[in-house]
Amino acid sequence: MRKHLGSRKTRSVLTLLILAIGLSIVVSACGSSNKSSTTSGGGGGGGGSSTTSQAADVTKCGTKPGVKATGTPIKLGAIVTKQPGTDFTDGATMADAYFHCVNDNGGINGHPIKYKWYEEQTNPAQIAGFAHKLIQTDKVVGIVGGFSIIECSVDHKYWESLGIYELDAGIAPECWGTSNSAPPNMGPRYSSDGAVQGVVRAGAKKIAFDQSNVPGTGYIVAGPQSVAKALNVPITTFKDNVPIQDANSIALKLVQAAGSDGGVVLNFTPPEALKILQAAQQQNLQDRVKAWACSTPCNTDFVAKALGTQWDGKLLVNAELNVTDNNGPQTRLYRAVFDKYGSKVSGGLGSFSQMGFVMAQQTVMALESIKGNTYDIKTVNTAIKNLKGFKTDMLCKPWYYGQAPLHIPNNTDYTTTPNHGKMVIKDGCIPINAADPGIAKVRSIEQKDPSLSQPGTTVPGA
Amino acid sequence: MSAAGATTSRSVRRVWLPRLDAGDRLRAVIIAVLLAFIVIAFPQLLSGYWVTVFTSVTIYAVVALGLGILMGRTGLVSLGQIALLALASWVGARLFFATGLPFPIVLLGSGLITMVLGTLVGLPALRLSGLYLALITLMLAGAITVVLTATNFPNGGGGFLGHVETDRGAAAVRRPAIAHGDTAYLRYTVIVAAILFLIALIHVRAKPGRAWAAIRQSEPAALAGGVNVTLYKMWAFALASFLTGVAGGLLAADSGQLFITTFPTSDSITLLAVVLMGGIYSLWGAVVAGLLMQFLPALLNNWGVNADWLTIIFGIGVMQVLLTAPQGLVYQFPRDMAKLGRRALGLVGRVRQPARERAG
Repeated sequence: MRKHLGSRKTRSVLTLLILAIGLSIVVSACGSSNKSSTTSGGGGGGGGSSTTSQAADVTKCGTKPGVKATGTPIKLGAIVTKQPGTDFTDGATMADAYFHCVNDNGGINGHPIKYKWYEEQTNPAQIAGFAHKLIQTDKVVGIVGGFSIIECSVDHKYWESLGIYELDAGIAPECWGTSNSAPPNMGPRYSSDGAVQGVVRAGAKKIAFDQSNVPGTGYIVAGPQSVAKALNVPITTFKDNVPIQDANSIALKLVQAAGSDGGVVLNFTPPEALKILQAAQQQNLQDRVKAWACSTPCNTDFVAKALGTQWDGKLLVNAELNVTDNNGPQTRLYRAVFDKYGSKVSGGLGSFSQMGFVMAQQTVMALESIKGNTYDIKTVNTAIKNLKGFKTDMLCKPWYYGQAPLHIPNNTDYTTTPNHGKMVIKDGCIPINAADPGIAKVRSIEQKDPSLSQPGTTVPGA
Repeated sequence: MSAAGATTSRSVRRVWLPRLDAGDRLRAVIIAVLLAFIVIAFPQLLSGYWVTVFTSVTIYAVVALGLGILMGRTGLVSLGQIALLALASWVGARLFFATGLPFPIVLLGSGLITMVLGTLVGLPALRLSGLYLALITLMLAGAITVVLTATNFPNGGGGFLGHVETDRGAAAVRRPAIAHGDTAYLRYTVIVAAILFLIALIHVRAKPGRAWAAIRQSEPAALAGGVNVTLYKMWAFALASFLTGVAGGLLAADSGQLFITTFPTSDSITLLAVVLMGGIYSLWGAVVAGLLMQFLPALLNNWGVNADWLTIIFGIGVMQVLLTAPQGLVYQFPRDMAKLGRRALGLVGRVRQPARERAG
């Protein structure tokens, strides 16, 4: 290009550039406003709609069937991630659906639950602002049902300073490693631990572990490394930038690293994991190792359908929650509530909305345990902190909160596998290996107070 | 003082401190009163949420100011300003964790280091312009994002990178002792931003501003007129980078923790859009751009409207501004309001006249 451009020419180029930018922004905005983003479909263990739903009684949500709650509202809030490519609103929208169901059936001692959540775009200042707004302006008394990429990192000190015990489905390490946060899920690190255990059970003598190159990879990989070491299996770790550009070479690299008696473990979002698995399939690599495994995000029928039957029984997925078409009472109620109240749950039935449902049930159980008629930050959060023995068919073992420096109450998981386009249970509940220091600490807490994970009050189910 | 010294002093004053006329002095008084209101009274009127929002508005107004100087004053298109802000935040956070230096010194250090890095980024500007320069800066922004994704932001760890992976909560970037709370930090940020705007104003009203205007109009003409094009182009990049560098330091201390997800490359395009909408030829346009970029999404979120709609609104807004008011909202809005007022008065006059005639 010539160095000197006439001013008119420069202006023309600038105008063209600006018009192009304007148009591209409009076009990209149209794309990003689409709710069915790839991420929002991920993580589900069931289908997109409740086709398997049996007739279930939604009046089981509350204590006074058919009686609308009309008392002073109990205000609860949450912060969830929603940005182009990442939509975690299903947890909050499903929690909202359950709260509506509760309000239509007596509420909490006659009080309806008023639920408000804010959608953030992984901006720490924005998240901190929402936290202040929920407390100072909206006057919420509990933070429940959130699902955010970095909210735990940003706000945990604020919640601790206020005595708030957050119920959140987390992503950031602080969701499990701090005193005032207890998620229903176990997150990428411990789920990857479970996936490593899965391929070792399948006979792998060597492991190639690959994950997306995003913040926190060092923290995540430490888990699989400690589990592999405890199982006497060598592990080679990789991280790849997402979106993946060359899945063929990644698949080849992983298979070569694992060897014919090894296993490949992936920790990616469903679309990215799918790229690697499909690339392996195209190169006939799926049988070149003993086993393939994935952390929780692969536990979705979307992956099972896209892979086809060639992977049936060969891909092992560590699933933090049960499949959505199981016939347990809480899952039946979940599907019924979804059918009647879940119009805002854009991702349909799946892990994300399951987590929202579990958190909502935990919240209601805590609120119903409050003696008297005072629902403020102190009473509500004391009740949440005292939760224990929460038994649901969506989780392997009873969930608890309790006073502890860290919380990983979901530490025993299912293993699922594709079967004719659906994810089905392959192995029942298997504890995550305590070679991971976080799990070891939690087991020690559970041993000191066995009542935490003993089944307690019956959780509503249909 | 010697005669030579006095002459030099007068020359420096003529270059850097142009004479203010009565209008300028009136404007300065109004701005001073406005600033005093924003620093003293305004934060008291806001809830905690809006305090954090307006802190972000102030920081992004400074970033927009940098882009305005590059594009509006010098005609250099940059699509890498948000990546530069990420780099500046990294530098600021690293300095805060690595040193116990006073807050303003760290801000200055962050500005100066980013200035050096940003000027290096601007080197291609000596050879390129227009679409090609935009493309180069966009690619560079992508490269910075890739590197920062791999290295992460400092959070109190050791070594050069200063990052430690922990599940117990990382350390937060410190704030100045006099502005530890959110409200005090908003005031602090506004004062720092005011100083930066003043620095920019001095540049624009003095010799560099005239040189940039000449370059923007026509590089050959500027060269023929004796303007050192290379020097003043690099100067523009250096000043814009310095402003972004200080803004990065402020941002690091505002949020306490930094994540690469806060700085998507696409935000550089959004920044360009809001700077164009605000008005690239005016310093006030940067304030409008800051409001559009940070206040508007917060307002929509507050109303329960998805902030994704803003990308559509900004797209339409850019086209509207280009077609009807290239000088931006900062000129268009008052002009249109005045027009509307005149029409309203005219309408009232026409209604009253027949009434008077009937009465007469």
